[in-house]
Amino acid sequence: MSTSKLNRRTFLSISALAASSAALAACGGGEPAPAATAAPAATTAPAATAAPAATAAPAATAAPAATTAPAAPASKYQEAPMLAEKVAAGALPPVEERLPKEPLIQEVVDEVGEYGGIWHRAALNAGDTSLWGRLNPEGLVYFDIVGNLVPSVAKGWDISADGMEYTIYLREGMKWSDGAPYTADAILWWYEHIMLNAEVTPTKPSWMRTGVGGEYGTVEKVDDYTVKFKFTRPYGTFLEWLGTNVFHGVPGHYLEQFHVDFVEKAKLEGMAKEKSFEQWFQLFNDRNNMTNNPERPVVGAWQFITLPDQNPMVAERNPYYFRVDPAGNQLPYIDRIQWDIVTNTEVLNFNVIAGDLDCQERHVNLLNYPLLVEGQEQGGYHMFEWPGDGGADAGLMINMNAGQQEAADDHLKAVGDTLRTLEFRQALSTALNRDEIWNSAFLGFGEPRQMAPMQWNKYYEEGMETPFIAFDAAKANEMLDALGLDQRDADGNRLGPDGQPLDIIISAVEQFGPWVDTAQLANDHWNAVGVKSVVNVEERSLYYTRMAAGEHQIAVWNSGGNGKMLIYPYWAMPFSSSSRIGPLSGIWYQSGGTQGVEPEGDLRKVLDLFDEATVTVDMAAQDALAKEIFWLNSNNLWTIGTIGGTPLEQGLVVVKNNFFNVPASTPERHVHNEDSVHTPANCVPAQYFMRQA
Amino acid sequence: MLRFIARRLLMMIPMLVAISLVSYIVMELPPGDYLTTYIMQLQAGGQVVQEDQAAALAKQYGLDQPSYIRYIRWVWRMLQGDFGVSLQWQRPVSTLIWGRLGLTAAVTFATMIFTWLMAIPIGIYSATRQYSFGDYTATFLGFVGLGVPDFLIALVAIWIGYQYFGANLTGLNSQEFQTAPLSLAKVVDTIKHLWVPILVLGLSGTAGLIRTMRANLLDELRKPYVVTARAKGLKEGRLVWRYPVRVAFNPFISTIGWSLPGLVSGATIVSVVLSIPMNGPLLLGALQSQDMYLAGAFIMLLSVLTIIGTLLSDILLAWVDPRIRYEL
Repeated sequence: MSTSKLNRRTFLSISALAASSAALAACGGGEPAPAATAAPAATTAPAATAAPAATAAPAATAAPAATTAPAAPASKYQEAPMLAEKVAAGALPPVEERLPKEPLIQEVVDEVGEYGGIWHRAALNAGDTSLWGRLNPEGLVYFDIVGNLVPSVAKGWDISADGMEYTIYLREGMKWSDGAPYTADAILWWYEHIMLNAEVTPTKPSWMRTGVGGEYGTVEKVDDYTVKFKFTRPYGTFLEWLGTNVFHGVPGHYLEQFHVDFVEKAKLEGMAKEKSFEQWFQLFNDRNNMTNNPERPVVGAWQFITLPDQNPMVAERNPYYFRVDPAGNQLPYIDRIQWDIVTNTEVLNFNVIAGDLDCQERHVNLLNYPLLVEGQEQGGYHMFEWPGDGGADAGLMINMNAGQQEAADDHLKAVGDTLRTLEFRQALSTALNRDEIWNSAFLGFGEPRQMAPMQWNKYYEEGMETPFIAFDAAKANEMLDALGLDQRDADGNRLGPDGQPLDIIISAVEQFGPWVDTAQLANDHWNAVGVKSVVNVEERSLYYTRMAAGEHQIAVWNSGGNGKMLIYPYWAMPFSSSSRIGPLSGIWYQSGGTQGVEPEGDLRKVLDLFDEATVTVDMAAQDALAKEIFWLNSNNLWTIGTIGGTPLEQGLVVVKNNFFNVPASTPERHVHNEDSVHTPANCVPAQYFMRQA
Repeated sequence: MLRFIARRLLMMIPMLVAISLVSYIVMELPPGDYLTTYIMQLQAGGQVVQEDQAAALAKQYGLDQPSYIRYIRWVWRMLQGDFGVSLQWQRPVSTLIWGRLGLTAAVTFATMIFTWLMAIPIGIYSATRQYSFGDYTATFLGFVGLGVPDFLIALVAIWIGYQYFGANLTGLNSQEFQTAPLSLAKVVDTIKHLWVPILVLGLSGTAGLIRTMRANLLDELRKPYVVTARAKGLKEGRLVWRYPVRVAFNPFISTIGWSLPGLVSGATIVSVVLSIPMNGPLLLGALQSQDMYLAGAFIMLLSVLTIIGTLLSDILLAWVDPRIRYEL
């Protein structure tokens, strides 16, 4: 073999290059490289193959040694050791001054916890709600573990008898994370300088008005700790809207340096240009965003200390957080949360299985369940299952506006008319073999059902979920024949009313769930009774565009939100262009009747019922209206449900064995799991803790 | 020579204009824009966005104006060095790209060195010992590396690491080192994670280079001057390395320029699979969510680098090979 006469100069320069590459990489962006270590990949055999796990151990490293905080005799509250150090050094006021006079006493799920630890989580990018969005229950009001409305930032409220005035009582002595007082001014400032400012908010938030046709409400300050929201019509669902939007006002004392009402516009535009924004309000919104701006004061349990393009993203405890546990310890227990930003959900799931994440529920893929069970011992974790409250985890949503879009040809109109026939939808539902879908697509989780509230939900009435779920291909054939679809072509496909083979396109996206599998199985079952159909797997943004244009015929999605349907209405009615059952009618509704396609019959009735429920203050009457809406859905089968009640969305909770106070979902205490309550925010992650020893 | 370089640099300008137009058009082609996906994500995440609110968002994101106006403003700002703000990340584009540049360049560069160090000696061996057992083995392994997709090798590596060593090889650093300050242990940990992508990418690149080297060298070894040199008593090793190899090296030099854009956004799929925060996944995400400014800046950057890289290759080739210099 010809030996290369690698002279010394060449060898040294190659080693130096390779070593500085490794050092550059280790720096992760710009610090000067240290003295080069042994040249790594410069040799053919990589040196580090056999390196075993230095990685498996998670849990607290940088956290100060923590035991249960000792009860300080002088004060009835205790604080985290890392804060106690700062108080001793004079950098923070003592805990009684940091807490409001009446802090919120937070019930703990298992036991009073220990301070300390770093909670490792994962997220896909800076906008992922797995970040702060799912851990933050700090609206004026919020939802508890089972979904009931409870005080949060506010300590209480009064509703006037006519339902037009809401008086919210804040906590005296409560402070923002920078120590400034949190008072009614936070809400007033938001009202005057954000909501009423056309540039920052060109369209006012929809929850400040009583429905699509309603007028916007106003905000009035009664005193430093009392605020009134006033509306011109009774507003029955206002508090729930407040909760789901996690609204608590804004830190006006900090934001006024970026607002045109306080600073000259020219100066603001200069500041905006420095940060590559074009307009002052883009800078304002950027500075008002907690994730983008770690300096923005917050009221939540943790505050970001990194910028959104850093990896990992880290949040640290807020010394002025207003919740304490029943023993008087100021929450949160956990010092820091660290989010590893990974490139895709597969890597996230792998990290979960490998036991690198302390408590993760978001993005955990249901179909990985067998792997998760297998990996429990090695990974040192256990799992909870939180069945979802949505009701249909792979709903076949039938577009009642199919064929009504402008560019539709006669065949599409014919298909649309057939889909709009109730008996046809009933036949389609009867032709589905839900057991097959249950076992193969959903691994036996949940149960076969139509899209209706889950049995434990307050809107549930017996029989809502059962119409036409029994599989009977012969009966389906009979029903289709009785409809006049008994003519078939040479391939056995039934002919539609226009004489051509009736073909239906089922649209699904790859992400979020076993939807493509469900669509494939439905496709097979329907082909077996002569209804020709085809599955169209669409890329996500294309799916959205076509959906909003009303081009879908049957679209697969999960109905997340029926447990709180009155604040999450677009599965049960054509509420907007993202209501798969009638996007064009949704546009009609949102535009006040000026655009889109007017819905008829029951499809219109559900919208009217919703409008009525929004202005109904009496809870029993509200619930009755909601139940009526769900009965109309059951009777009309606008969504053909397949399987529901599975832990599809943030339902598989993987928890390390030293991590406590995560609630298990039991029949007695069902954890409300839906997007409207941003699960797991309703479990109050501030009371989670990690055992240090 | 100078005239040649000057001419090429001048040609760069119309080419860049054309590229910016084409890339802008291609980005605008898919239906909808960044907002469509964003709004649907908001709604999927629990916020109801009404039609008029969507229009307001469009205004806030600067997406409410007609296409050609947005194009002109984009180009104008780029010429001033302002690449805009990424719609998805809400951070200035230059910060995003620059922040990951070091790591991307390091990995790509190390991969290139690794590939060359593997391919060239093996290629030379293959040519000088044609049809020997070593030649066949090297060729076979090379083709396996070429045929098996690189992300598959990466996945297998991750699985082996987890199953037999209990190690999580994804990501740039293990958990304990993620927020730790720079130290020897951290560098070692980074190397432990980085060898997987470097090996994976290197394996796929090696086969092509081996075969190229082998083929070119075989051509050269048959030439009369080699026989003459041997007859004159030149040692075999010295002979092969000093003369035929230098000629066979030409194709390597002429493609060296194309690795320049790779330094900015190389190895997308492998870094997605292994979750290494390089520029590749950033570009992929930007294209998928139609993040106009980030994707546009990337494409322009890559185009500029490709053009410069090709130019550099040509200059290098002319310098190394007198025959080309003569033609210039």
